[in-house]
Amino acid sequence: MVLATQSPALLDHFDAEEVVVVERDEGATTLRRLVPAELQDWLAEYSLSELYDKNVLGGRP
Amino acid sequence: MKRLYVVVEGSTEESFVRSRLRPHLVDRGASLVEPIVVTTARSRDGHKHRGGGFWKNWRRDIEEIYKRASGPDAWVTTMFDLYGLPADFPELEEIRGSSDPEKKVATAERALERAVQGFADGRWFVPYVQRHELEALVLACLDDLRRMLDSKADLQGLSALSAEIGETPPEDVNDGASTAPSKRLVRHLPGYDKVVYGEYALCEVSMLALAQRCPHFGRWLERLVAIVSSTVA
Repeated sequence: MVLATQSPALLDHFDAEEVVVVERDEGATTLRRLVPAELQDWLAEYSLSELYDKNVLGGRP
Repeated sequence: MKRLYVVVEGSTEESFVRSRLRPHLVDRGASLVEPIVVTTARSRDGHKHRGGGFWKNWRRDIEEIYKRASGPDAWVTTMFDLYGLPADFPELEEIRGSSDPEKKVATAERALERAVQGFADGRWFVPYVQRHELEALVLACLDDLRRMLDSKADLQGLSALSAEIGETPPEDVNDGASTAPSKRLVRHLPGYDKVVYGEYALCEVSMLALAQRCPHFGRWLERLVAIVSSTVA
């Protein structure tokens, strides 16, 4: 099941490896899986929704 | 090609970095310009209950950015407000002890630089503290803001605000609890919304005009342009 969302609160119900960030780069849509190893230290302090708000995950409007 | 991470306090700054600073610097050689928000609305409410200042969180965030940003072409800069520096900010007493705004920001920026030295690992850091807060830039663009508003009350408020500021340079508009730039905007413009009006004011003003009207900001911008456009690592 694929859920498309812009709700940070919904993110907190999932793990980093379940998240794909969708962005637009020069007209093309890009999809990027989060890499839990890269987010390890961030996740020790912040939730996924907080990291989204901080622009650490990307995918901002 | 230089990569630049801009550590910002809130979403108005985040929006400014993405919509104005990024194109300006990418046009001049940067390959990446990303804002990282240190204190989001959600975390601000959370920390109110946990107590303590925000600085230790900001510092930890900067440390993490350096950890994650590999390579010598990664630079970090900040966009912090002089007004309302957190209670645990380094050398805060010395910053507050000075009455000269230029000395205050210089002390704050040096304190930032020293605090980051330990983990910047020889990589590059440009501290920047705004005089006195981001809304100084908004005060520098009241004509641009005027073009975006249509409520009579707001337009009248804008005239009153312009008259009140007069010839005072935006960066000199001081930081009292009722006289800070943001407080003046709230007081005069009934419809004022920090994020929306901030974007309205800043979305089209030329960066050159902004730099001329706000010299401390201008010097920061010049430094960033020199960094991203140079071919030296």
